[in-house]
Amino acid sequence: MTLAIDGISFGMILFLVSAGMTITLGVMRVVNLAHCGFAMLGGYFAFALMHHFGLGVLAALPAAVVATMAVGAVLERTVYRWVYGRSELGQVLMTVGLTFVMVAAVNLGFGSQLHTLPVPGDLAGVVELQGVAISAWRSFLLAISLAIGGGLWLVLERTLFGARLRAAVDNPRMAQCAGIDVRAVFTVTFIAGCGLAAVGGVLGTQMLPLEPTYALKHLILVLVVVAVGGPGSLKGALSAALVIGVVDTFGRYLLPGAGGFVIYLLIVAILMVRPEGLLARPR
Amino acid sequence: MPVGIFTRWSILLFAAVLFSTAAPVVVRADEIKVGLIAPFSGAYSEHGRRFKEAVETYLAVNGATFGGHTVTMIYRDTGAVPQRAHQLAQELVTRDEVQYITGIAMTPEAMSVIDVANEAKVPVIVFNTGTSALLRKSPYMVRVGYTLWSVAIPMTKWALKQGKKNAAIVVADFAPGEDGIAAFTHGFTTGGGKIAGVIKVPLGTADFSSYLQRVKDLAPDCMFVFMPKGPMSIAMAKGFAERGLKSAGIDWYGTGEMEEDDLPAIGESALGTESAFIYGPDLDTPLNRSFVTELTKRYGPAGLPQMGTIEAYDGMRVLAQMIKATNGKRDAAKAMESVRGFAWESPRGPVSIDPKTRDFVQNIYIRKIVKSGDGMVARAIFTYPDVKEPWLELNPE
Repeated sequence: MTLAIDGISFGMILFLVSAGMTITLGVMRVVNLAHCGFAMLGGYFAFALMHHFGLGVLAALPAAVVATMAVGAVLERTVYRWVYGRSELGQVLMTVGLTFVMVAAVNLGFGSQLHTLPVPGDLAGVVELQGVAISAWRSFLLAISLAIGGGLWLVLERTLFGARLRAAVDNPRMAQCAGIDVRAVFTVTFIAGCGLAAVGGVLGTQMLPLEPTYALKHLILVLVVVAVGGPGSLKGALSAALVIGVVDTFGRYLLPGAGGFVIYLLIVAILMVRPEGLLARPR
Repeated sequence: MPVGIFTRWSILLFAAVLFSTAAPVVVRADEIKVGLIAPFSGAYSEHGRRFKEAVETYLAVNGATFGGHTVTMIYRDTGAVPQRAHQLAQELVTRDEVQYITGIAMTPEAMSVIDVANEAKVPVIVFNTGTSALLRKSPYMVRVGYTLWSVAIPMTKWALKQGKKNAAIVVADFAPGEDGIAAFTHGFTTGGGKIAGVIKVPLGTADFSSYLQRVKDLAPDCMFVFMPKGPMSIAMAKGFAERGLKSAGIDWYGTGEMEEDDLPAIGESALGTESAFIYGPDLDTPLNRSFVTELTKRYGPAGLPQMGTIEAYDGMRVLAQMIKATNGKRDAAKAMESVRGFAWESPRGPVSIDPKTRDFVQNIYIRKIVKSGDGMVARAIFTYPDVKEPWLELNPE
């Protein structure tokens, strides 16, 4: 039971970080390899805030997310402007370059030591539930991510913006004709994606500690979640992230030596059966 | 065909460049270059920093001239890539023409330097690293750190003394980790204990939850831990408390995972844990007290000596001995001969180099983390004196 909660919460963090990327990659057709860097930036913003003002991680979270979204907005208007028109290779090169800039900036500002954001005192430790000890922090993460996931669903299904986004995603040309400013919708989505990644970055430091190479190290996992889930599908990203989180956690428990390798075997298996991903967007 | 003016000048320029690079590097007869290879950046940059602090302190306190020869240290960074040590060692030997190589914080670094040492016949003073068989691979290597066997065997003695019967072993999955498993198993089972299970954690793991859950399910009465000092140790220690292993009655028996500089990151959950290790700044001897004062005076509280500091400091002592014995000349065989049986009083206690095996002989202290002032220290509660490297003793050549 403990392991299940651990696995699912890890999966939810992965989902939060990957959600933005699946939209940009699958829908806007922009290869944004710097996406993991936004998660990293979010984490480091929170770290800086906690250090300078002595805030707890939950207090620092909103400010860190807003800061990351601001950075995302600025970059979107400037750097990504160039990226949109380029070929795939051009986009890869540009965004990888951007990632390196982020890595170097963080290294300069914070040094190369690993950092985890301390868990608030009352949420550390275990909670006894019917004889099973469950990590309190992980359960909290689970609750928060479900809330965010629920919020996302609400926005997409029940708001005007959500309707516009779904329209723009399904058929950008038709949506443009119907008067929806597709570019503006995508910009907002991009920035929201950065914010989500930042949430994942801030909350997930216990599993994915902050270090300058974070942006590159975990990019693989994020790309895997997007690829296995099917680019463009949020539900797909969610399923893939959960599967990967759970399999990784149980894999490390059952086969400690081979632990981290188990998920890659699974990924190969899934992609061999369904190369377009679990819940890919039909094109 | 007539040679144009441009061609003439190009030839002259080319010749000039050739001659200038072919000119011999002028080295003053009494200048000895010593390379120091360590991680100065990346997750293990602590080691490099501490080595450098100790070396600079040693040179300042004892003078940078050893018997009339000036020592120039050349620092090289392996980054987070231990295999780079091979390339760095090669460059140090061929390009910088060092007489000695020092440093080395991790076993993979040491392994990559072996063939450079053997081929170039350059003595290597290994400051840190834990694999017992290392010195057998090169006649030019000497070690001033420790091996997993030298700390694990006293740990088993202590555990058995405390009445422990059932132990789990959790180590990082690399060569010293394997040594740790073999050593602890040997010592504990020979004393009548049982090993509940062995868990190998891949290097670089940040999230220990699954592994710690496994330990808890094995229900041992104690747990032998070996993690490389740094992020893995901190993550494991935090997980240990968070997962409730301590309250489940599992005692933590470690090695160098919880040194004073990591204790603030680990927090109160460190209190009460015990370890077997080579040094602690808390050691109450006049020599250590002045050593601690000197380091903290030069580098502030962050300079508080830890494992890396004392290793580098003793390493310089060995280097000084070698330089004195060879009178600054390049003579690897004579240098190595001079340190066999060399004994001295170090801030960590009386130490020596075993004449038979070239390995380090030192006290191993059993320490407990206790409160001290507003912080915590690892306080020595028991000493196993003059511990010779057990694996080499059990496996004579």
